[in-house]
Amino acid sequence: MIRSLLFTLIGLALFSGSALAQIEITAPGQQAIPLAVTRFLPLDGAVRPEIAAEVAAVLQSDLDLSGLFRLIDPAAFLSDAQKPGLNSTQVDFGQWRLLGAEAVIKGAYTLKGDQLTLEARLFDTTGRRLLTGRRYLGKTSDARRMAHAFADEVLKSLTGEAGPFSSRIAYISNQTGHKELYLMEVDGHQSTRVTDHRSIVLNPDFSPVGKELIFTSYRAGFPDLYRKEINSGREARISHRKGLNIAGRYRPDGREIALTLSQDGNSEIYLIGTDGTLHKRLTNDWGIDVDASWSPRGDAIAFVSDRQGNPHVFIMDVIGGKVRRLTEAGKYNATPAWSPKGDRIAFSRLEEGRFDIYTIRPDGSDERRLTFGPGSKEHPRWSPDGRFLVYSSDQGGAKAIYLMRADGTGGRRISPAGGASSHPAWSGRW
Amino acid sequence: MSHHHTDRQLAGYHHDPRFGRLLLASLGVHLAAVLLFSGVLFPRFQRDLRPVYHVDLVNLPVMNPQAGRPDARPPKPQAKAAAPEPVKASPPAPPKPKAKPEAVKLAKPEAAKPAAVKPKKPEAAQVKASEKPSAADEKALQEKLRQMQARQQIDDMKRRLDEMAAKDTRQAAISGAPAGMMDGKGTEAGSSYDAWLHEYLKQAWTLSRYQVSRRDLKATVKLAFDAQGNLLDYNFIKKSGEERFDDSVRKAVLQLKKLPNPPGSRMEKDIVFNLKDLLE
Repeated sequence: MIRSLLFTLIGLALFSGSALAQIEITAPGQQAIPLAVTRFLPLDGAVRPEIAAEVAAVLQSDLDLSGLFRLIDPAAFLSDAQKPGLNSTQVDFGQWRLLGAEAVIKGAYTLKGDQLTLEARLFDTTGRRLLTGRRYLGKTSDARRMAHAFADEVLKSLTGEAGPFSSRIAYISNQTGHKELYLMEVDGHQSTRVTDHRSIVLNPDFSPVGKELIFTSYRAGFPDLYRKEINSGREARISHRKGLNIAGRYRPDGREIALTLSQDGNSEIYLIGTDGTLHKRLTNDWGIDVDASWSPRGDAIAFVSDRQGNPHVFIMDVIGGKVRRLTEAGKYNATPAWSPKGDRIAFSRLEEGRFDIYTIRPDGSDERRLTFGPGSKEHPRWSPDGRFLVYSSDQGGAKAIYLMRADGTGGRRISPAGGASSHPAWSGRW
Repeated sequence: MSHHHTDRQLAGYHHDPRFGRLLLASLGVHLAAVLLFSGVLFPRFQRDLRPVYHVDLVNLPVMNPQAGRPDARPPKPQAKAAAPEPVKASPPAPPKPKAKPEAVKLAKPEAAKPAAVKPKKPEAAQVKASEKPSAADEKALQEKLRQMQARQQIDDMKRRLDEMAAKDTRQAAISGAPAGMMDGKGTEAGSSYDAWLHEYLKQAWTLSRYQVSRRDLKATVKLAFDAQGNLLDYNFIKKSGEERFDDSVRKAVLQLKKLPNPPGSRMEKDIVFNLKDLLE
């Protein structure tokens, strides 16, 4: 009796202090990180405000495109934005917390002649600590590259995976009166012409290893496949078989190319070496087979075929040769692009007289339409990290290159004005 | 030898009825001490507390804004369940149409009555010609009639409102929905710590959908507060396994320094963070 009374009392005494209830929070209140990007300040040497402005503009543009951040208006910045101190002990985190910033980018530059040294830091204002920091050395003309590189670093620090902003986008433009191959930065700047074929250049694709491209050109009067090294400028015609030599795509290991040939009368997909030697015929059907896109593991291709009537996307197991149909909806599905993570395949679908971009899982489930509104959106290609899609669209009149996040948000034009631009391709890490 | 002696003594105590009484007395003293220090015996000093309300003016876009609310269930199925049944049950004489004309009839007389009364006026005018003294009576009668009609209309309206209230299924759903503080007493001190913590930590928690690759992440954190409401300690009871997610939770918790009002005793709370309502 006494013992049971004792146990009850002890139990009550223990329990009274810790009456627990679970509180469930089902989503973060802030779903974009409030970020402040300050203007980089001169540390030493000459003062060039335009360099600091360019660096800040590139960082803001890249990080805004990522969708990860809510950029804080620089007009609200307090005195710490004008202090050059780059150590976590020198940053007034209280000021940034006051503005609601959870992260802040600060930096400084040193100019000695044409030599530019850029110091960039990302701070966590809650933990009052440095998240990442980089020092870049180069010429003043490299300021944009340095900013892109740091934007990649910021994404790596906050997501675990680097951004794609240091990569390049190849595209076809007719601004000279001929369709030529061009290269530009991810935000459309620094556009440079790569070919001077004065003919028709089409379907570029970047090698996964090394800085080289393949493309189709009518330079010799026929649609032949060419390979070009970017740095040396060397170029070679690697496939000039009878008929079409189009839509070449490097295998992820960079050793082979899937190419559409019509040497036997009908368009079929073949596997060739980077020197042009024929390795294997992949498709064999009465229908037109074209536009192969490799799975990231290089064991399958998605391609377009009208073997069942209308053009649809199919998937072929490259080793076993088994083919299955991927898209069921729509009457005209074209230009598939397998995401680098392998989880989705982007393609364009013709409906009501215009193309729109869609994505679908490789098992045919979860089809999603990403683009809406006027204009045709075609030729989607993934960024090397799978975060973004680049495509061509005539929504603004002449065809231009656009970029959006993989979920269809944040779409923006990136190609420079002048001429019509199409057939984009995104490089790997540059 | 003394050892044996002590054992014997103890055995003696066990048989001694005084031992039980002594133990009970000791227990009573301990209990009194506990009660004394817990403050239950003494009336607490009552402060005049002003009512404080937490008003969340920030409506952030969420995937499913109604998620979690008891009244979130779509009203249509309910209406369907309620409406078609009576119609099906009595197809030859649908009760609804009957009720409606009634309602129309009740509403119309309001405008129609003066018109109906007016024709009487010429009659009255005719009568007036023969019997003039009854004019005042006639007016009083008209007035009475109008009052009666108005009263009848008010009664009818009341009856209709009662009918509508009886039929309104939403009423039941909303009455169960959480409104304000669950166990609030109208004051900050009396407000629910759970509700306050939920709101504070939700607003302090920042995580972009582009930072996480999965939506099934979940972490549980135990927070410990002292009697003054200061956050003493936090620890992860269960981590999500994804570093970015856990780090964002940690940062949210670190922003919490103190509760708005002291709980009066040590308090522990388990907070579950998940992504059920993260934007798609």
